[in-house]
Amino acid sequence: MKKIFSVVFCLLALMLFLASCEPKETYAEATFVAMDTVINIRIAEDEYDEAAMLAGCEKIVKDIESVISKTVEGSFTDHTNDDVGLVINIDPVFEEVISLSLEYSALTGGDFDITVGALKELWESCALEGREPYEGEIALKLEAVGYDMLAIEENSLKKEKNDIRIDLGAVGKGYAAQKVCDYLTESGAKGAIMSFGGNVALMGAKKSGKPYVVGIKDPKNTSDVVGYLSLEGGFVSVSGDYERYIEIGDKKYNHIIDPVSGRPSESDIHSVSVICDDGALADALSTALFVMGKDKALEFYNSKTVDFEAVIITDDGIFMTDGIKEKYKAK
Amino acid sequence: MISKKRTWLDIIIIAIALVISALLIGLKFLPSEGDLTLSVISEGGESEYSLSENREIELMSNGISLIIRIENSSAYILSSECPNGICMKQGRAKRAGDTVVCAPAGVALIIKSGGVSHGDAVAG
Repeated sequence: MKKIFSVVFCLLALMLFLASCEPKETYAEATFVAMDTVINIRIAEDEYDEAAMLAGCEKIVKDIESVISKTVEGSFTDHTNDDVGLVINIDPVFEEVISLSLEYSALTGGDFDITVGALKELWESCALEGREPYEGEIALKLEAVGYDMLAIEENSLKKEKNDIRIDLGAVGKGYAAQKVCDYLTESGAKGAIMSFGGNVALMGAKKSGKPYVVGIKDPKNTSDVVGYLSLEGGFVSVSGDYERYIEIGDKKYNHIIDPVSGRPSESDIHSVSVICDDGALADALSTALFVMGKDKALEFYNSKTVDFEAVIITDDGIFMTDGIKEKYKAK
Repeated sequence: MISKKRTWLDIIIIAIALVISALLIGLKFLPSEGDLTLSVISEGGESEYSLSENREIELMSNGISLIIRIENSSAYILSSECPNGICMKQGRAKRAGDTVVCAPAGVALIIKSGGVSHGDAVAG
């Protein structure tokens, strides 16, 4: 009997020891509002000045916002949306974001398009009036939609039509997340978990050495998740029909405008999570895949035009690309 | 014979003790439901409010005056002097993770859950 008790005692002690041995993940944290969303940054605590790093991160985001946000008066997006054909002496950040956006538009055949600005504003202003836009109003705004009507030439942005209005909301947060990750890597941060309005960026590693675990929000019950991704780093960008919307009467319209119809996208996708190594690309792709719909999105993945993975949630279930299946665990 | 019975009983008790220990250790890592609270982020920092009590919160952020209303376990922006007023059309935040943002004012309403954990981060 004594032998059994000794063994049991040792087992219990071992279990408690193993439970307490797990390295504690502690983070220094900052939450602020920028780029029309809530940004939360957590930096793994270590022997460095986390407060200075967090302040550096916030400055990077706000500097980018001041250049590319359409709601910031005097930003380059604001200038571009004036009734002009040419914006000269553009900021390098603005130039980079526009160049990347045009590249992503071409890659996705225009399903991602930053020139939907006028349409977004039309839907937003009509929502305030409590009505849908008239077909004629949509048709008029559609004439100023098309990424191929923009070009970067010698430090300037050229617009083929003066009334083109851009919106960098579908790429800006991912771009900023990428820049913050770059900054933290250069600053020597051991690890960080960032949320840019639901888009997640992961850098470095956890103290435990285990992968980061990222829950994928359930579109039908946003306080819950449908499953978890185990990731070593990178970006998870999500576009969903629940995340942002406007209400007109009793009807909710999602915020993603289909550049072809000029209406909020009527995709069969409830949410699409794009996983890739580049923040701006992940952000743009999630919008593009949402507009594409499930079948076209999976075809696009299989074309291997771009290196990414995706988790797509529709009424018919959860669809995953080949490279993410092993990293996904259902709840 | 008596000795053998005692041995089996001891083993059962030990097994139960092991299961309970494992459960207790497991509980440490399992998510638990908690009360929902409203976190308001503004120029002045972050404040938390209970969602269980109906009330109005007046605040000034980035020079913009807003009124937030907590009503029936949900929160929304009742009025805002921001230029476009889009924040007032974003509906109510009521589930954990829901947000309402007034970008010009730099204000965000976030519903937080007391104890639910869904990994290191939630995407979406």
